[in-house]
Amino acid sequence: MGETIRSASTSALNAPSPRDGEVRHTKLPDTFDGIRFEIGRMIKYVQDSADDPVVVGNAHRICHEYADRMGIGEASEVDGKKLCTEAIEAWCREHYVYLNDPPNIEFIQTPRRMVKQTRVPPEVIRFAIEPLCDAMKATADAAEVDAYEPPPITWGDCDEGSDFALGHAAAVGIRPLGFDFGGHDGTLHHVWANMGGVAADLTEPGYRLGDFSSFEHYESVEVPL
Amino acid sequence: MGRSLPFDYRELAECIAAGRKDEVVIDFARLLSAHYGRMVKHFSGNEVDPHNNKALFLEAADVWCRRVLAPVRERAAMGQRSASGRAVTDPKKVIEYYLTPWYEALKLEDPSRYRMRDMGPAPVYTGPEDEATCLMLSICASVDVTPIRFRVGKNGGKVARIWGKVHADGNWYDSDVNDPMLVLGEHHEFEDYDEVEVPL
Repeated sequence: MGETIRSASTSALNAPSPRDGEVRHTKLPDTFDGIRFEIGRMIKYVQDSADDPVVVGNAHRICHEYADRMGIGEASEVDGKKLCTEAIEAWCREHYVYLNDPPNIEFIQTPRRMVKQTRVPPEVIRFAIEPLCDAMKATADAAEVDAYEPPPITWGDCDEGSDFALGHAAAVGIRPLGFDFGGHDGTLHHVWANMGGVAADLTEPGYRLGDFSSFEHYESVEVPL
Repeated sequence: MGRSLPFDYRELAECIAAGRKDEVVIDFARLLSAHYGRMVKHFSGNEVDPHNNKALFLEAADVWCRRVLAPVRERAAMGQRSASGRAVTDPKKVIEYYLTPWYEALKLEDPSRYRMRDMGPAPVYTGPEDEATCLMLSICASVDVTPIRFRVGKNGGKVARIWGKVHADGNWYDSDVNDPMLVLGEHHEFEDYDEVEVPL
């Protein structure tokens, strides 16, 4: 590959993350400069997650609950990082749904927004999807459909899945963190998280911590923290 | 509709181009797709795999739009609950109504503290049928259920009806959300048909 993505866009790195409810539209060139800008935003969102109370609180809760489930009390710092990596990967995988972006549009949410989506009360989701629930009664037991509670999930493409995992990892001090990219024919079309040297690709439901797909080309970008 | 040939689809294509860049439409398409996938998995006893299942995402858009945006008289004839809210001619206003509590919850530092309020009756869509079709196709495009097409049925050389045609997981599906009597994959019969792909 002639071009590399290792130098993320400075303007993307310096611009603050969007505030709650804020949406930013940026016209990107269909070149590696566009990818560099996008990577800059992804890095920035992970960096900001390290200090974001919503992500920090969620990440610590995930690690504590996982330790309790595993029957682990006091752990060494090294063991604690390993445990948190496992806990975060498992929790994010369970609560994330992979969806493609619209063609030729990159839609990136902050980890903060994604965590918040998992906390929206089920009755709110139910309100939005009630027409689907009504339709479901044609094939499923109506009482069971009425009792159905939408699960606490969030969603996004591979950029957002990586940011979601890395934001949590940044929040509990796992280091180093980075994005691993893979592609064919001179392009990079997939990205997954690297948490303390371990791959975490949430986009493939069958994958577990350490799994990643085969590509012709790979590149890695570290998240400065 | 009674349009004369040649049918000019550019205005409708522009409507979709705007829709699939709209953050509300994208948020809605994602919420609908993700939750419908989980719901179908649940009620199928884990038989259906929702992972990147474009046919399921298409079904979600088709079913939701058909139930909410199809002409009121048609839905009433089907015995569906009739809405009694204010009339709106922009189909996106209907989506905004259904997403309002979700956006209100996301404004809170902890959305789990949000308490659902009385939203009042759902607005009744009374706008053009073409725009309902455009919104359904925009929802599909927002989660990359593509390519998408407009399909027209013609009688006597004139365009009699317009609906969507969507490619998902290797198959093309007709989607006419303006008739609640139909289901995904069905369409009315005409003497002749035309279709044109929507540039994305």
